[in-house]
Amino acid sequence: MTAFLLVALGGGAGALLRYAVQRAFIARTGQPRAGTLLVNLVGTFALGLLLGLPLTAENRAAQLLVGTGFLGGLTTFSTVMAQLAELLRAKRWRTAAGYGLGTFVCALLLAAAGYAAGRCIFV
Amino acid sequence: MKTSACVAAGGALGALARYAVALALGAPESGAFPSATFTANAAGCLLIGLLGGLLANRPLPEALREFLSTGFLGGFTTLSAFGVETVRLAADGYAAMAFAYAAASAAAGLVAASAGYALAKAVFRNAREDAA
Repeated sequence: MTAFLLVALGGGAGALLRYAVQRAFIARTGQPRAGTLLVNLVGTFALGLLLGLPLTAENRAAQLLVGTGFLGGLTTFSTVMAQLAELLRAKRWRTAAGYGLGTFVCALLLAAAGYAAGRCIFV
Repeated sequence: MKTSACVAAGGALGALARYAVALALGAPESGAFPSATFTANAAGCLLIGLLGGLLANRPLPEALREFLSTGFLGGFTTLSAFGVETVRLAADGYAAMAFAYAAASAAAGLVAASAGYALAKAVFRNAREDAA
């Protein structure tokens, strides 16, 4: 029961922060991708860091609240794919390639960097 | 304010649904394909495509639209778990599985989002024409 509460609380907060960042970027840049990219990259690095930390392996509550809930809710896969599909329908090939590759390559690099950093930190 | 509350509620439900999928499918063994995250991400992409195709024909109120897309589907799908699972597979020596997982996730997500959009757009356009 507690597990569901932790996941829901974290997920709600993560989605709310993602929405706020997306809105701020749309207001500034007029397009929805920059804000999505930022929350996705920050969230992916943070999850790598969290799961790399030896301490987290023993702390299930932290995994559920921060990992599954908050960072899972902060980052999104469906929005990226909907944005990519829209770019492809508009035949904006270069923007689609840049956004798609930028999201996936940077996410994997940052996940690796976060994971490595987490394993180096002994608390 | 109302829309923000809808996004938060949708995100909470989406994260719960993703957690439920993970519980149902179980934690992957070392080196195995991360099927829970893959399932949530692919299903979420299909649903967001369907929603987009619906919205192309019939606008929904902003609060409901954001509840479903930014909230529920945004919270249901996740890039961070995908990224860390891929890196862990590679770090544990399963490079081929890491590559297969990354490629399958990207391909399934893009195909599902595109197909969902095309399908819903066609279905709801026909429904609207039939009603007219």
